[in-house]
Amino acid sequence: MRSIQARLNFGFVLVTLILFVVLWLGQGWFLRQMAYDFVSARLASDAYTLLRAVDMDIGSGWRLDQDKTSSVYEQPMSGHYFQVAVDDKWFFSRSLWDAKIPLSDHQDVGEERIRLLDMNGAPWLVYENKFMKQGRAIRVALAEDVSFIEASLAQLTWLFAGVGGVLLLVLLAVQVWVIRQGLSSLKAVRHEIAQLKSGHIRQLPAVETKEIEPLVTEINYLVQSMEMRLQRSRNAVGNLAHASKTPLTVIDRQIEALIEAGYSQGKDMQEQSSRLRGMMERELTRARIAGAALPGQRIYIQEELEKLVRTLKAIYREKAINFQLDVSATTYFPGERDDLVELMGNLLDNASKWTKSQISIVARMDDESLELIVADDGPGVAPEDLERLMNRGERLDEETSGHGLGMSIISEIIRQYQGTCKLSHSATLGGLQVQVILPRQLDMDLAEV
Amino acid sequence: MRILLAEDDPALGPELKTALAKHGYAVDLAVNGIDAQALGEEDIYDLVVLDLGLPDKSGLDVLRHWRSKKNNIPVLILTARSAWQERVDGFEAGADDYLCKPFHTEELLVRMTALLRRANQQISSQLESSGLSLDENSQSVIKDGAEVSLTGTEYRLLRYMMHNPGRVLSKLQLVEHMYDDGTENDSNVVEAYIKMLRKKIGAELIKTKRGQGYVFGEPT
Repeated sequence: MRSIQARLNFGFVLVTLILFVVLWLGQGWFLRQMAYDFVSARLASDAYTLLRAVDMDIGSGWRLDQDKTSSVYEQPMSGHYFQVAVDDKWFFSRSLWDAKIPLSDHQDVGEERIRLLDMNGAPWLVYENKFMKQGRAIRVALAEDVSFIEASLAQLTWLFAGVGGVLLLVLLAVQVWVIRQGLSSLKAVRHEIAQLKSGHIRQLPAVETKEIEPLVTEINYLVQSMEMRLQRSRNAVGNLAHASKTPLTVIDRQIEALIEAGYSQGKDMQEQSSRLRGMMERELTRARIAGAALPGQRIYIQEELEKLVRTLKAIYREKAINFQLDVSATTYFPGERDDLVELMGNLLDNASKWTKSQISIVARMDDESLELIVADDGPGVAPEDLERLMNRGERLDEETSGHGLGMSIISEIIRQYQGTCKLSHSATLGGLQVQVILPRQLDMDLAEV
Repeated sequence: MRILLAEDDPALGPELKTALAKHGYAVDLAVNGIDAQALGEEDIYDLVVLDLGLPDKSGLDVLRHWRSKKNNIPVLILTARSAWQERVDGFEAGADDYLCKPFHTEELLVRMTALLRRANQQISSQLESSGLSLDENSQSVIKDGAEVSLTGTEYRLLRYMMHNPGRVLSKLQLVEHMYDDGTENDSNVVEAYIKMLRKKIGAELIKTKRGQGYVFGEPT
């Protein structure tokens, strides 16, 4: 799993760092270059001053007029040095003391040379030129100790790094904030999807963000098309059931007529037909079970149970069954209405078949699950049979004729909803008690936004 | 007993009609929802056997329409739709009983008998009235422990009267509940059958109300 935020932050930090380093190196080089240019220009102008200071003295020959040179050249180790050669006679600035400016080998007249040298650990910028004065070649070399430039450059670099670092942090904070803002609509959608899944809403609301809007539209479309597909396949199954059952009824009746007329094959045909009927009924009912596939479902149990109880009272009118409902109004079923009704219908039908007069229904809901308990005051099931029934999902109603699906449908629905089913002895009513627990959300993670 | 059978299947409908007629019911067959709805409003039927998947108008809509018009005719839904939701819908729409296809004729007959009895507030499982006990299997009546055999028409006539003891039943009413649409009938034949019945079960059980019709039941 990669995070968009982390990726954007990483990209941003990387690009900013590269830019910063380039800028940092660039400014160092540029400032140094500028300072050297400035120093070289001054050295060049000093070279002309020096040239003017060199003249021919009648008597002692060529000399250097100290008065015409700057006083910094008089001070020893001042950092400003020169040496001048007229033919082979050398004049050195007093500041040089014992040192000499290293010279390059050969030089043409008018050729300017600027070099950076290392003089015992100190950087010297050396300017060399060769002039012609009164027919003599005069070589001039000036040098300046530029350690001060390096020192201030180093200082500046540290300053730059400090300010840059602070700025980088500020930028990063701003960036995180901007990305958070940008992703906030994505977060909102995530929250809404969780709501969709838990059944609070049936469709995602429209969003303002251009990039997310198609996503929301697609999800809504998917939800809708899934709903429609389920509806369609259910209708198709219903139609198939209807279409195939009526001919089967006619066949059954023809078989009955055959048996009545004394044909012995009739019995075998009847058996096969009843097998076919059983298989068909089971598969069709199974196919109808939707499972918790669709989001946005919230079926309030009380209303459905009341209808079911009315129906069962009508079916088992002779028994005058007393149903005790203990269902809170807010308890809801996290799935398809048909599945709830099928599950409870079969549970209550089983209970109604065996009960003497009392059936109790409890529906409770907590944060994680929905609990449905149906108990009756019938003969119940022996403990060893309870085990068998739960393990193999055998039919509870095998001995009572009828639609005969009972337990297999119940366990199929429970399986679809990833729930559990427990059969036990009812302490209050004395008969069988069936406890069904269904998780409210199949994926709890998504809800935690 | 006159039954309205609403079933669109071309094989099952006529076949079921024949089977029910064999058990002494006068049966009219409606093959679509519109016809079934109109026939059900005629107040001549004692029971409706209603298929839900009818063309033109679904059985549930037909049933809801009747119930909204306060038509309380007993309705037995006979359908291929066996899901509990569909059962609940059927009963919520006002059905009195619900039988899923495929079914056995015996089961249908048992349910129909139970429903007819319930509609006439009779609690006992055997149709008994005024010292008479009707045996639906042999289509005969037991009077003072002795079995008295009846012809088909006599059986139909007596059964209807026993379902409605103490009520004045006009000749027209009797004819309507004894015969289906396809049978030639004449209300005058009722007199002849009443005469025959009086001979078999005793004249005191069927009294003539002049100008109104007949009343079945022991004098009180």
